[in-house]
Amino acid sequence: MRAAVTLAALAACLGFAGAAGAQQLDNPRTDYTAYTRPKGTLAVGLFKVEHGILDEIMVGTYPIPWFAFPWLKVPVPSGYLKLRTSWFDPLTFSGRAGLTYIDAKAVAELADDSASGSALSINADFTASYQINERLTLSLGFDYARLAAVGSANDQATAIEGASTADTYSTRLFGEWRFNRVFAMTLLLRYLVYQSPFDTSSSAESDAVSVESDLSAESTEQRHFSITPGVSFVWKNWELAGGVGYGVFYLPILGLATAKRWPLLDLSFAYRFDLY
Amino acid sequence: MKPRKESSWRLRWAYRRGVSLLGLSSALLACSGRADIPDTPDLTYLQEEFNHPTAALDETSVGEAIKEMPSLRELAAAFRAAGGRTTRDIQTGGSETTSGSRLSIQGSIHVTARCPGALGTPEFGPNGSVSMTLGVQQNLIKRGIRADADGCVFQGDAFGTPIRVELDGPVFLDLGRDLGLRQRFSGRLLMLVAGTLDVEGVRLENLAARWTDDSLEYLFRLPDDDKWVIAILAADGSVTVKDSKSTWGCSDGQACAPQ
Repeated sequence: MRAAVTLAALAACLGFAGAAGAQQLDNPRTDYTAYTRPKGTLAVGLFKVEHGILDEIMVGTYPIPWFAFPWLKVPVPSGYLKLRTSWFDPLTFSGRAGLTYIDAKAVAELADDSASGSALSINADFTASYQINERLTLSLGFDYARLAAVGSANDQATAIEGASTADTYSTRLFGEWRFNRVFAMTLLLRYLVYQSPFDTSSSAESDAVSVESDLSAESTEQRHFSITPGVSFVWKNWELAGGVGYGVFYLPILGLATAKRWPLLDLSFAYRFDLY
Repeated sequence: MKPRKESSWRLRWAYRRGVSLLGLSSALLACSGRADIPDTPDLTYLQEEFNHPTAALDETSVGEAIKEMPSLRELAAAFRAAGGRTTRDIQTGGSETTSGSRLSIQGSIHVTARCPGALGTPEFGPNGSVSMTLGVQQNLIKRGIRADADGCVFQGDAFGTPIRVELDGPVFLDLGRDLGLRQRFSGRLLMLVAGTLDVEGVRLENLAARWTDDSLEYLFRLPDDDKWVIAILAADGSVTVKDSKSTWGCSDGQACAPQ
């Protein structure tokens, strides 16, 4: 009986596997891969909203910071553009660039009431995805993140002021093994190649004293690796992906890496429908 | 011919675009990285000179040396006030951040302190200034500091008597040890005035002293040779002179005697 159930489950998996490829290409996963949303598709989730303008062009944003103004006093706008090739199948290349602007009021709320600088986060990645067969896809990517803060001085300056910059370079390997049209297992490996020292220039002024500083900070114990196994589900309109791992943690949206290793949680879900 | 021209134009466009992108990338990358650590003076040689005076005095020559020295009380008041002006702004308070931290901070801090003048009420602006650059390495402010005074006028306290002091030109300081970024400075400060120190109209040049709350040591080079002694003014006003062999106790208006 037990063997029969097992065989039936296996047969069901194999039966679904044939249809998996079509579903995968219709609604491919867009994070960590070179794929984009199909033309006219809008995916709305808590962590990101994406829209396929053309099959090869996708725009997106991170919605939560837009609605953070009750806490940060101002919205934090963000947006990204992703372009991919469609003429090297089964190999796909993509480039993505994104911007996030953090107004001075938000920085003051996050860092220090006296801080008067704004911050601009720039993200870019290049990814190559290769669909080995209908079930297995491998993606190799290079990520770049830059956080630049520019501000003005005031009398009580203590936090992010002047000009501050930090650059992060990392690579990743993402594998997706699709069992059927709904379910897939994933594995994300990331390697932090280099994170520059955080360089900050600041100034402060009072009647008696003027202080200007040019300081950089860097971790003395920078870790590099992270591994996140996970699962993903793709239904007709819903999609859910999650993973739990360990290693260097990348700040969402900003892309800066932590120096220490942490338990990692990777989660995304969205409701997907065709606009046109 | 037309395709060739177009090809040439495209090559130039691609070249210029490539150079522009390279320039932009270089400019962006140049903004980040480790901050430069400025060169700071090394005054350990002067600390050694304070520790090891070279002149050998007798009862006569020690008396002559005392007479040749500027007023130690006024000098102490001037140095203490000048030291306060320059080190006040690095006494930030808080807990020490040591080089054992997981975060390594380096770079420079440039401080310009405007001087208050010799009157009781501070008047910043017309009384000159002192600017100095601190080097920061591995979370520590480096012990050697170069400062430049520009007609800095302030008030000194010579055992209860206010005196006018004016500092001008280069000044070098040694904190005695590297200082944590959030650590309050305390200890013995060494100051070398390579410019001039004007105390109540008496203009002095090339002075070196080090002091704590309890005493001030003044390095006095004998006028006739290249040797030196150390004159020490204690908090109670007593003066001792240390030469290469012995220490002399000197009471006001009386001869010095070996201790």
